[in-house]
Amino acid sequence: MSTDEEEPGDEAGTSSAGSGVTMRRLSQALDSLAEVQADLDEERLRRFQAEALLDRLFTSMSDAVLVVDPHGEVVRASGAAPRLFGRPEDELIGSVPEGWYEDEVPLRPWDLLERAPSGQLHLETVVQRPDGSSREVSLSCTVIRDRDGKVTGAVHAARDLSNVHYLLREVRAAEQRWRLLAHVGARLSEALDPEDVLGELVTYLGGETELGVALLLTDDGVIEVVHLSPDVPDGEVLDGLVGTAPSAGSSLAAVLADGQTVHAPAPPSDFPLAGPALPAMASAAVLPLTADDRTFGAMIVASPEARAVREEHVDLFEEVAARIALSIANARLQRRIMEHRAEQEAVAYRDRILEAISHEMKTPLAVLTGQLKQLKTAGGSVEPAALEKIVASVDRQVIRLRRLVTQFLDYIRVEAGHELAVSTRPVDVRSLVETTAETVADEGRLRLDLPADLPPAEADTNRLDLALANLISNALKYAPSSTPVTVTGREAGRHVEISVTDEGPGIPISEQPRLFDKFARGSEESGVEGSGLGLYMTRQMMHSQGGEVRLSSRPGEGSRFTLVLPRSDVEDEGDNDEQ
Amino acid sequence: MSSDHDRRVLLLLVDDEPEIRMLLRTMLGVRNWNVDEASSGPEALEKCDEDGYRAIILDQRMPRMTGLEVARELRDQGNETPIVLFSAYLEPDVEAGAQELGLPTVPKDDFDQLFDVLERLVRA
Repeated sequence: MSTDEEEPGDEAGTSSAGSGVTMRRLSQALDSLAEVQADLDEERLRRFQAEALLDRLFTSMSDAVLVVDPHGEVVRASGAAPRLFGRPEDELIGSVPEGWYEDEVPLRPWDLLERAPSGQLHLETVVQRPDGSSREVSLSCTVIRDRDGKVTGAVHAARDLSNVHYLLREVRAAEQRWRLLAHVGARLSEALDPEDVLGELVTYLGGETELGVALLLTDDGVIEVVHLSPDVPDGEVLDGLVGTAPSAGSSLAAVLADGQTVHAPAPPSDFPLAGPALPAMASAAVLPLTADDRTFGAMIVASPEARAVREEHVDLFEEVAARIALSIANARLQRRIMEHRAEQEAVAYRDRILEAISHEMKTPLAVLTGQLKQLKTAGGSVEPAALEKIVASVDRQVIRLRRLVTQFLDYIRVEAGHELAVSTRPVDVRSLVETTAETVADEGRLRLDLPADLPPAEADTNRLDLALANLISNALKYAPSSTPVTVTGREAGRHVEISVTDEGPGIPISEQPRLFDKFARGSEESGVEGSGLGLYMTRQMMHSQGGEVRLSSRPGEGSRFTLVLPRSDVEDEGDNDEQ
Repeated sequence: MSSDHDRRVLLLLVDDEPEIRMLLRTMLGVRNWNVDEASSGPEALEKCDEDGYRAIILDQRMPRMTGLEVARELRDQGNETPIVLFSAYLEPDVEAGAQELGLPTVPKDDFDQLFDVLERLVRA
């Protein structure tokens, strides 16, 4: 440009004639020169302005832009470039960005054209910084040409994606965390006992987080239960801890003692995580299962890769562990309450039995006391007839007490889930009924009506006597004292039946189905004398002899209880009834 | 049963246990009581409609109606016949109920006490 400016001066110097023509030509030339000068200034201004604009743009843009020459050397860098590439500007300029990207990126324009004939390439890669850190970027490479199409360099525009990716990861992690916690919560609450689903949850958590997960439950400091996800590192070692207390000084012992999480992102191989060496765990965390200030277990989250168990995993598993612990504690509390209630019920039930038995014994004992008193009062002067009555009464009370004891012992056997030890043999039913009837104080109300040819029954004499005595004394007790009680017998196909019929008030239909249950007979509402075990045991005793007891009763029309026993004089043909 | 010896003091014995009734019948008989009997609460209430008893012995634990329930019913009907509650075992709530109605209670095997209470009730 300077040469262009000097030429007119030279020409003016050589024109010494000063002619008008020359002057005119000079004037014209000067004008032209001025025009050229003006054009040149305008061009310069434009170029200057463009340069300034580009500068401003380069300084202010958030993307990192490198302009490289045909050799791939950086000739220009945007203001954001030093930060993204982790190098000062003067180090950027003049360097070839060799090894700056994790992936192979065409650095020279010719390489770029070879890879992308259009001269444009977009890719995502990672910028490796000299300090070892890295940034994820979206990179656009474009070849630059001059007006003639000659390749003069290339532009690398890198956009930092780390923040975007970080946010995306965060969103994904939050979504996973939410889904995972929701699943854990749902399974725990669906289960009848949350401890039943722990194994399943551990497997699920391991699968979702791609980490090894172990869950240990302790009782009194001793590891009772270990659940492992399929690929938990050192799983067999953890499994071997069952029945042991974690050794003092181990992280597991510390977590169980103070309920504080231990996070070991990259522990040395001899790190005392659980006591025994866990060499396969290159990163791990131990989290307490704590509820109500009590730690009763721990979760171990582990990976064979160092730093794989990150802070975010610890956060997540702390939440998971808290939920599991709360569920277990609640269920255990619930169970304790139920057990306590069942215990109380068992005690109340036992008390009721004892009370009932004592009550039943009180009557014969009171009668014995009364008879003894009569003997004492009379001294030696008891009339033979009176003495006979007293002895008969004492006899009956002793038989009654003996029956009560037998029935009570049988009851204990039945309650313990055992069969009654019966021994059946052919029994002359008519004679048995007569004997039993003699032992019951009937005040002349009992009528026996049994045919002489009644076939023998296959029965246990003691139990049949007891069952019959229960039915007769019930009938005498329930029916008005002025009404008769009838005992009849009949042959019914392969069976013999003994019926006890009274003219009492009958049994309400609604009470009949549970009449043979323990404590039936409406004893609660009306304070019935007797244990309420009589009919229950009558049925048990009949069943144990291969027989049964039936009831037929209508309110206002009395009741009939029937004992059914197999005949001993016919072959038993299974359960075929011919009645 | 009461019709034969009406000149003696008439008493109603209510107990569902025939053995107890038989025993007391004899024991009270020699002490000059004339005993009428009922084996249940409803039967006792029915008998109380007809006869004027000097005293009633009520067993507590009986089918359908307890002794206390019978006593309450009688008092509600305005029947003020002296009653003694005679029971094998007296639960606290039964004791309280008896006290409320002003009934003396006697354990079932203490016959001396029963006779004393009966004498006192009839003399009063």
